[in-house]
Parts: sequence; C-alpha cells; structure tokens
Amino acid sequence: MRASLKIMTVVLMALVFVLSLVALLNFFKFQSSLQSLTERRLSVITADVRESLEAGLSLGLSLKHFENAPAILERARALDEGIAALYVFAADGRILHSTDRASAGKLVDRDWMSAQREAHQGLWHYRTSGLLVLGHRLDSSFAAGVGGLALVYPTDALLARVNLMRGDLMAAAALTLLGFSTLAAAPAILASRHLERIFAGIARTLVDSRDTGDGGATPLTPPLLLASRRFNDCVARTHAEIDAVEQALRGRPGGSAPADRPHGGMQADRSAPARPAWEAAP
Amino acid sequence: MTAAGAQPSDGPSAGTPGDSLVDAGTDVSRLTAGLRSGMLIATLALMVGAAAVLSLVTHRLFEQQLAPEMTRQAATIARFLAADVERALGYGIPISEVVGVAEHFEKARSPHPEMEYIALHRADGTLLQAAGTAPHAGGEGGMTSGTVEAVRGLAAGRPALGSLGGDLVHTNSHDIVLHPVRHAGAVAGVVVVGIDASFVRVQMQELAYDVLTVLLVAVILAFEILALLTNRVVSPLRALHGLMLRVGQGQLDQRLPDRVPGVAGHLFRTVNGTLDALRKRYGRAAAALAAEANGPAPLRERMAEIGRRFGLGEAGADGAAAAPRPAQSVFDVRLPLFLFVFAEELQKSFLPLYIRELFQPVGWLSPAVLLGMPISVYMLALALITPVAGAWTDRFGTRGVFIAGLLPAIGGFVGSSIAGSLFELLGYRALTAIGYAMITIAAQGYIAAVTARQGRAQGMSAFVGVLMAASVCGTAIGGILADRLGYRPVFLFAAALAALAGFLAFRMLSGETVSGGAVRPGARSADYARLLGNRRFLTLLLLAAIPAKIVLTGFLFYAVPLYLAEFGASEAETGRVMILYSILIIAVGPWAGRYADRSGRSWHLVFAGTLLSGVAMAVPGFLHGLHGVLLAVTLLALGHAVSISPQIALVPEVCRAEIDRVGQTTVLSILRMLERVGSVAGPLLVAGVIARLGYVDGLTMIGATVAALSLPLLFMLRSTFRPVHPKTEMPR
Amino acid sequence: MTSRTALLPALFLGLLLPLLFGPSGPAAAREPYKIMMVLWRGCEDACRGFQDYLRAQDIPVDYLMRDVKQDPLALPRLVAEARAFQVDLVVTWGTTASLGMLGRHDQVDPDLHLTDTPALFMIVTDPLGVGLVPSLERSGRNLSGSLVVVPEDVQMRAIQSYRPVKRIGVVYNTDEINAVVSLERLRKVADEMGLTVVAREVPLDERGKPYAGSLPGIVADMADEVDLFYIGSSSFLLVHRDAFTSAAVAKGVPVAAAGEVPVMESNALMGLVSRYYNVGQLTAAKAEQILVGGKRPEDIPIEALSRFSLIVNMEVAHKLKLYPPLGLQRFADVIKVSGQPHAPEAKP
Repeated sequence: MRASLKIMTVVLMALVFVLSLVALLNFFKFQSSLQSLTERRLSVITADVRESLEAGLSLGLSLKHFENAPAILERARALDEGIAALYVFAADGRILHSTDRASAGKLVDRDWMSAQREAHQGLWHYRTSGLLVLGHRLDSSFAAGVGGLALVYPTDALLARVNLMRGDLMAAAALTLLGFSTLAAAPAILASRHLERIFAGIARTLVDSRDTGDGGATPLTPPLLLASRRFNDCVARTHAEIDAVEQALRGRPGGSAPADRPHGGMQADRSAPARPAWEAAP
Repeated sequence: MTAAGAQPSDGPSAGTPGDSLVDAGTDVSRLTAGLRSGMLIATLALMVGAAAVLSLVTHRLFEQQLAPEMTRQAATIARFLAADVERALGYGIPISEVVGVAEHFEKARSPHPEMEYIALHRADGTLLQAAGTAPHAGGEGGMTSGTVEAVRGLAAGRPALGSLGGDLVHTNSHDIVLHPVRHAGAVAGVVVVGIDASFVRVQMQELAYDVLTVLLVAVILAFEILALLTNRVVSPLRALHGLMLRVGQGQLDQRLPDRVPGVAGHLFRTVNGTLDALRKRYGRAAAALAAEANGPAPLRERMAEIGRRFGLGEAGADGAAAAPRPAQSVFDVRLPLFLFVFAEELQKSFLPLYIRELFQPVGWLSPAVLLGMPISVYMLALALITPVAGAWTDRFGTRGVFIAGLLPAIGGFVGSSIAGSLFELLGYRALTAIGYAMITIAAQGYIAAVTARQGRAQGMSAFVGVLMAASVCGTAIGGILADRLGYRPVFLFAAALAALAGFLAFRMLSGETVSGGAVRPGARSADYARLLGNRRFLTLLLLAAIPAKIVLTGFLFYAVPLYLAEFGASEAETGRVMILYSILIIAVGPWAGRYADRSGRSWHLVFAGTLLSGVAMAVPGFLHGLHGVLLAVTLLALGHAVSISPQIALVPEVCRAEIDRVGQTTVLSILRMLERVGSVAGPLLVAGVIARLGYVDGLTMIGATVAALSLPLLFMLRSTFRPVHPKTEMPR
Repeated sequence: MTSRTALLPALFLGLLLPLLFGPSGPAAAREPYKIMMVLWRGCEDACRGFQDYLRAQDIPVDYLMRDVKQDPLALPRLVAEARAFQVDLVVTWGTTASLGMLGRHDQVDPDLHLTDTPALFMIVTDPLGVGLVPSLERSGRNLSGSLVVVPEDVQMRAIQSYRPVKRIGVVYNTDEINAVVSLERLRKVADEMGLTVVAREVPLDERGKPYAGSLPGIVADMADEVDLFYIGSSSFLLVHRDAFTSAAVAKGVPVAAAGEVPVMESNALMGLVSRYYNVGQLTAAKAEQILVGGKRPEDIPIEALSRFSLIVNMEVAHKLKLYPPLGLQRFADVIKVSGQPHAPEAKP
C-alpha cells in the first residue's frame, strides 16, 4: 500500500470515529429535546386538569362523584390532537372518569401505579415502546394520593420524526466524511511526497555522487548524505579492490580475468536504466 | 498531554522509544517525529473541521424539526395564560389593573427554556406586563412594531395566519405566538409568547463538553494509530539508512526486501542490484582466482578479505545473503493493547450504577457492599491470574497468550452485557479480569522481548503510557455511550473492540517472540515471609501502598460513580470527572518521579501524597455536588501522582538486604502482589462504611483514617538517604 | 369481612385502605356502623363533609344525630345515651360540646364523660389550650380529632403572597384567652418573618367587658400605622366583624381573617381558612381508620388539613382596588364577584 493511502486510512478512521460520535450525540440530543418539548407541553395540560380536579376536591367533591370531570378531560384532550386519552383513577387504580368511555371501571396499568408511588412531587411519567404516559397524583385538602390523573400519548409520530432525523443526520455525517476525507488527501499526499523526495534524493546521491540540485529531490540532510556517500565509497572501493585483484590476475600469464568494468559506485553499474523511474514519477 | 501520555518523558527526548532503540539520534527518527506531529496536527484540524461542519448542518436540521414543536409549545402556554387573564377579567378586574401578571407569566415560562418572553398586551397593542426579556426595538411600549401590528390585527379579527384563536407571526427579530384574551364578547387583550431563536443553539451547546471529550479521545486515538503508521511508513527509509550505514562500514552482506511498492521499492531493487552485481563480480573474480592454481598468496589474501565483507568464507560460493529478519518493535503491540484496554475501561464510569440496576436484594449483605462486589471480584481475579499468566507467557509465547486472553475477555464482555443478576455479572467480570491479566502480561512480555536491555525501561513506560491513554479514552467514551445507549450495549461495543484488538494482534504480533523473562516474578513464599518481617517494608505496604489502592478502587472506582449519580450527574459527566485522575497522573507523575530521584525525598513525597489522598476523600463533606467531587478527584490524583512512583523508589532503600538475596524485580513484584489486597478490599470497605454513615460522612471518615495512618510515615523520614534508581516500573 | 390481620399492612396506607375493597367490597355487606354525632348548631358544613366522605367510601353508617342547640346542659344525657345504644363512635362538634362529652384530659369523670366509646372531636379551636388532650401526636385517651385553625405562619405567608405587607395591625380583647394566645403566636411568627405587629387592646366598658363601640375609632386611629389588619382567633371580633371590617375598608386598609365568616359574611378582603366541609372529611377519614381499619383512637394523631382554602372577597377587592395577583387566582376561591353569586364549581 502506498504511504499516502495508509495515511489516508488513519485520517479516515479518526474522522469516522469523530463524526459517528458527534452524529450520535446530536441524534440523542434531538431525541431528548423533542421528547422534553413534548412532555413539557403535555405537562402544561395535565397541570391544568389537575388544578381543576383538585379545586373540586377541596370544595368537597369526591373524585368518584365529580360530574364535571369528563368534561374537563374532554376539553384537555381537544388541546392536542396527539393525545389518545386521559384518565382519572382512584387510589386503587380503578378508572373513574376517562375520555375513553369503554375503560370506566377497569384498572389502570400496574406500572402506572408504581410510577405514581415513586412520583416526585406527584408528577410522574411512564414510557413504553410506542406510548408515553404522563401523570399526576391527585391530592385532596387532607390526604395525598386520593387518586391519579394520566394522559396517554402515542409516540409513533414522535418516533417517525426521530427516525427521519436519524436518516438526515447519517446522510449529513456521510457527506461531511466524504468532503473531509477528500481534504485529508492533501496532507497525506504531501507527507508521502516528502518521503518519496527523500528516497529520490538518496537515489540521486547513490546514482550520481555529484549532487546536483534537482527540483524532484529534497536536498539530503547531512547524516543521510553521509551515509549515502559512505555506501557509494564502499561499493566503489570494493570494485576498485576487485579491479586490482583482476588486474593482478590479468597481469599474470594465462590470466583469464573477466572484462574490465569502470568503477565509481552505482554509476559504474549501468545495467539499470539511465535515469531512475522515480524521477519521472510525479 | 497526549504526547506525555504515549511517551512518558523520562527517556531522551528524541523520538519515541521504539525509534530510538534502532537509530537513536539520527535524522530518520527526527523525520519520523516530524512526520507524526505534522500528521497529528493535520488530523486534528480535519477532525475539528469535520465536527464543526457536521454541527452546523445539524443545527439547521434541528431548527427545521424543532421550530414547529416550539410553536405548539408556545401556543399551548399562551392559551392557558390567556384563560387565566380571562378569569381575572371575569372577576371584574380591568385588564390594566390585573396584578402579578409578570410573576405569573414568569412562573409559567421558567420551566420552558425555549420561551424567551411572555407578554400581555392591550388590544391596541400597548404592552401591559411581561416576563422574560422582551425585545426593545424602540416600537410602541418597547415592543417591536411587528408585534404591535400583529396584536392589533388579531384584536381586530384579522389574524395574520388565520389560525384558530391563536396566531403565529414572524417578526423581524422573533417568532411570536399570540392568543387573544376575550372578555364580554370582545378581544380585551393579547398574550404574546416570544420564542427564543437561540434555543436550538443552546441545546447544541450543551453537547459542547461531550464533543470536546470526543475530540480529545480522537486525538489520543489518532496519535496511537499514527505512531504505528509513521513507524511503518518510515520503516523502508530506516531500513535503507541502516543498510547504507552498514555497507559504509564495509558489511556488504546486506539485502533489502524486494517486494516493497513504490519509489522505495524501486530504490531497494536498485540497491539490491548494485550489491548483487558487486557480489557476482566478486564471485567471478574469486572463481577466476580459484581456477588459477597456486595463485599468489597476497592476492588470495586480499580476495578472502573482500569475501569476509560479504560474510563469505574463502570458499566464495554464489553468496545469497539471508533476508534480514523483519524488525520487531514496541509498536506492534501498542495499538492492539490500546484498543483492548480502551474496551475494558468503557465500563468504569457506570459499573456500580449498572450493578444497582441489576441488583436484587440479598438478605445477608448490605446493598452498598453488594454494589462493590464486582470491582473487588475483578481485582481479586486479576491478582490471582497475573502470576499464572506470566508462566503461560513463558510457555506459549506472548502472541499466543495475547490472543488466547481475548477469549475470556470477549466472553466476559458479552456475558456482562446480558447478565441477568448480580452473581452472573460477578462471574463475567472475573472472566474479563482473566483476559485482562493475560493480555497485559503478554503485552508486557512482548515489549520486554523486543526491546534491548537498555531500552526496556522506556519500553515499559510506553506500556504504562498506553494503559493510561486507553484508560482516559475508554472511561470518557464509555460514559458518553452509556449516557445515550444504556449500559448493556456498551459491553457489546467493548466486545467488538476487543475482537478488533485481537485481529490486529493476530496480524501484527510476531509469533516468534517469547517473553523476555521480565515478567516472571518467581517469588516464593519464603520471600514473602522475609519481606513481611521487614518492619520498614511493612510500614510502606500498610500505610502507603495498600491505602493508595483502597482509595483508588473504593473511592474513585466505586464511590465516585454512585455519589455523582446521587445528584443526577450523567455517566458522561462521571466519565469526565474520572479521567481527570488519569490525566493528572500522566501529567504530574513523571515529574514527581524525577523529583524523588533527584532529591531523595521519597519518604516526604509518600507521606504528603498519602495525606493528600486522605484529605481528598473528605472534600465532599465541605463542598457538595459536582464541584466537591471534582476537587476530591483532583487532590486524589495529585496525591497519587506524587506518591506512587516514590513508593517504588523506596523499595531499594527499604529492602536492601532482600534485594541482595532475591533481586529487585522479585521484591517489587511482591509489593505489587501484596498491595492488591487494598484493591480487593477497597470497594467492600468503602461500601461498608458508606452503608452505615452515608456518602459524605463515610468518605470523610475513611479519608481521615487514611490521613491519620500516614502520620507514622513521618518517623521514617529520619532514615532517608539517596535511593538507588529503580530501573523498571511494573504496572499493575 | 376479611380477617383483620390480613389488613394490618394496609393500615399504613391509611386512607387507601377502604379502597382496597373496591366499590362492591365486603364492607357494603356489613351491618351498618352506629355513629352518634353531637352537634352544637345543627348539621352544617363539617357535619355534611363527614357524612359525605363515609358515603363516598361506601361505608354503611347509621347516624344518631344529636343537636344540643347550644345548650351545654343537654350533654350529660347524651353520654348515657351513647352508652345505652352501644354506638361504635361518637363525633363531637365544637369546643363546648367536646369538653362536655369528653372532659379535660386531667379531669375525666367516667360517670360524666365518655371513656369506653371511641370519640372524635372536630371544630375545636385549641384542643391543647382547653385541656382536651395533652398532646396532638397522641391523645393518651380513647379519642382523637382534627384541627381547624390555620397556623399563623401559614396565614402570614398567604397574606404576603396576596400583597407584601410590613406592618400588621391587630385589635384584641383581653378577656378571651384565645385572642391573647393568638397574638403571642403572631408576634413570634412576625419576628421570624421580619414583620411588625401593631397591637391595640379594646377598651373595657364599665362592666369590664370590651366595648364594641370603640372599634371604628381604634381602626381609624391605627389605619395610618398599618398595612393590613389581621383577625385571628377572637369571638368578640367575630361578633363585631361588620363594624371592624367596614371601618378598615373605609380607611382603605385591607383585613385578612383566619376564619371564613369575616370574609364570606362581612368586609374582610381575604382569609386563609380550613373549610369546615374539608375538616369534616378529614375527621371522617379518621373515623374510617377506627371503624374499618381497627386502629385505636389514641394512635391517630390530631392533625390539621394539609391544604387550606384562600377566600377572596372580590367586592372588597374592588372597593380597595386591591386585586389578587393573577397567580393566586388559580387557587383562590373568589367570592362576591359583582352581580353573580359565588359558585366556583357545582356543589355536591
């Protein structure tokens, strides 16, 4: 793999990490904002219903014989088309009044009751998949918890919007990723170009010890230059020594030394192309 | 901080430990470091940019989606408030004389941050009373003319949008929602709710800390990956450089790998060609010389000398030099280790809370103590398995143990995510501990094996650095994830990360390595007995080392998450508080170590640090809430940062005789083993006290005890002398 | 009926208990309980609240209604009657009737007072002060009851929420211990809240009785020094409420009262009160604990309502141009709204 690709991969991984976490954070923030907006809007409604009911209780009406209650509930339901139903139930969980006439006399969900028992200052909420239940304990002037009020709100519309946002966010994150990984190419290519130039510089030094300043190669730092030169020197010296041995052999009678070769480092070995390929490379 | 995290700065400053082992001081390592920091800066810039762009796009999406909700909210509130005013008018109170409107509106507004102001206007548009900050645009009654117009329009029965009863108007500065106040068959006034345009922005700003945490972690993560990557990218250059140096010294039996792509490969092949040609030429010359029966001795002598450079004897055959072994480095194990520890640390900010969720009362133990059990059991399993894991590493090799360790670890993660009861969780956490012990010991062994003796200390600090960096990242990200996804999915995520770590280990670790033997403690029970007979060792152990661990596991790991949850801190916040500990240890620890070495004041530091850690636990008693915990964790981290490495530095002083007999490594490993008593007991002890006294008093009491126990350390001060520098610090 | 032991855990739920039976529970099938109600001036709001509550809980009761028509001499006969009928519970209305039937806790005469029959008192202004019980937490006797007076600190806070005032004017008569004690308590509360109490005694006439004719003059005198007049516990002022409140309104100073009568039937601006109807319900809830729950009266603490009613006289508010704050109107019981009779919700 080319160095620039490797670097790109790392940057890409970092970007994926950051973008996916930021998208995740934003997604959950949206979800909670939407949820809290909805819950707060509904709690304004339940608070009003509760005030009306408790005002009646303190006037001496019993929850059960509260003839106005269905009208109060019906009026509240009309305030928000998303509300499925409102219930007023007694302390034992039996439904006394409701916008859903069929439910009268039945018991409310056990979980509502436990949510109400653990309510903070009377206010409670309970969530299942697809349903949001917002409730309030009802207190009379002498006893806490003579019953409860519950508002049921199906969350499928909310969920649809949350899902829509999820899709949008993912698309936005993907686009951002695409854009920034394109941007990331620049430093990656720069970095690998830098390396390549060093290699080119070394090649130049090794191939041609007369170090000419060419635009394609970075001038080598002294240690690298020194190492390259020593390499050349050593190769050249060895060639020279073998030369000397061969000459000595040739100088002898019956000497069958191989053809002589000029020396001088890699320049001497011209079996390789005249100019290395990297110099033509971008 | 990042740099310090990955390469504790007690080594020479040039390059990372791995580089310096091969070619310390050369410009190749400088190049590596330069490349790495350049890439790091570029990556950081790209990440910040990407996060910013995504946030901007998200901001627009949010506005589109939330604006209608905010309008509905405002409409609902306006309707109820209008009804309140209508009731007052029904009592015969003139609209201009209704009192307490602003207060009442403010009470209605305050739970709803998206409502900027709520105002009551007369039908002619005059502002009567308002709650919140209504815009002052110089219009009538301080309201913008747009609002006045809208109010008049509504009052005259010409709503701008013709909605039922209410109205939504976009004025130049605000979206406002209007609702008429009717009395005696006419519109007597209008309630106006101004929607805060910055609400969405504020919502997103609340994410700022989380996003910053993510960026911090991403930087550390990128640093870890880049360290590996630059090492790999630069390795051809390093290989070439090394070759040139050796050839320059006359070693001609060198060869570079052939199958390297790109420019480097081309150069490699050329270099190889050059050397091959030289070798061939030598071969021919040598053959020719050999053919020359009774060649002159000086000539033979010279040829033989040249041949030795090729690593060949006098019998100059065709001389195919063996390919050099691939260089092993600390970097091979760094990333897999980082990922694994990252995975394991994900649970830290919420484990006690998760336990509480699973918790079913068990008659014979207090609930608080039960919540501490998983941490204790984990520490116990870790303590028991560590020596065994060392032996396995010797037998099966580091790579094998590392990869085998992933099995219990992943099993433990998956199990923890589906655990149905406290006791199941205990089992799975113990399983994870076994994996953790195997993997960290194997990684340590690998580092010991691939580093030369003089580089081992640096290799080990790199190891500790990885643990700390991974701890910071894991704890922070784990908190954020748990906050959003819940506890169980985080364990699954940990399992996936661990699997990834295993894959990388499989690819990157060399199979040939066995432990360098640095891991094996090899302590016998007689050694334990001898050390426990040493009163000064015992003092150090009982008054400093064990309390430090008790405070760490009992306070930081156990009490902090539970206590923070008491007043509603999120897991993400808890995570951020907890990583403060690791960050401070990374930042201050090396400094304290150097100071202790230089000044010889190790006892002072141990005393001061232990005292400070005790004081830290008492802080929540004076300063309640998040800030108290933040200060406590800061003090605790400072206390530990100044006292932990001096503790190690004291061992050679305190146990001179024992070290002479069994060696420093063994003595240190015994100290490590014994102080784990504190790790195991910490959560149970703290839980027990908290169950009786409550958080604040309980923590204060334990803190006071730790502080009081540190006082006898003062008596040790008189015998202080310059300690021998400890070489290797073994973590955990 | 289900065994009592099975009900014991439910006792802690107090009021929830009867509901556990459901509307057609076994209680309905039981023989009715016998309750004697000893009334001072007929079956008024508290008495109705008591009966309504038990009816709503489907607790069958046979009532022996005994109205003594403000005649204390009729009481000893009722003690004997309660014994003769073997009633399950006696409920007494007012301080005199309660003391007459039950006696001071330190002067109980079993011949004159009820000891063997469980009893509940209601509408007793100061059960501790008159010696009906030694302690509100535990009566130490075979009786319990409910409180009717709203504590002074709650009163002051309600007044402040209507309108912040600094100087509270009190006119009191020394011949009534209640009035003096009430003033003492007010002074203490005022100290804590940073209020000033300006108190004036009603002068006595030649017979040593407080002179009602002096009230308008005193009020006019004090009007400049005070922001508001407060009527605490005082029979004298209750009787002369019109003179007092009218004088204050004429001077433009509002009157707050601790009882509903000065607001409902006179010119006090506001009052934070225990509605008698609710006190009756509260007493009935205690009756339920005794009859159905099997609790011993001495174990039932003597309590006040947890929520009081704020009554605002809108006619006076108009006169004084002193309207209740908008937020208060949600909870207040606004009466005498011009032209229309007071009817916030349909009465039961």
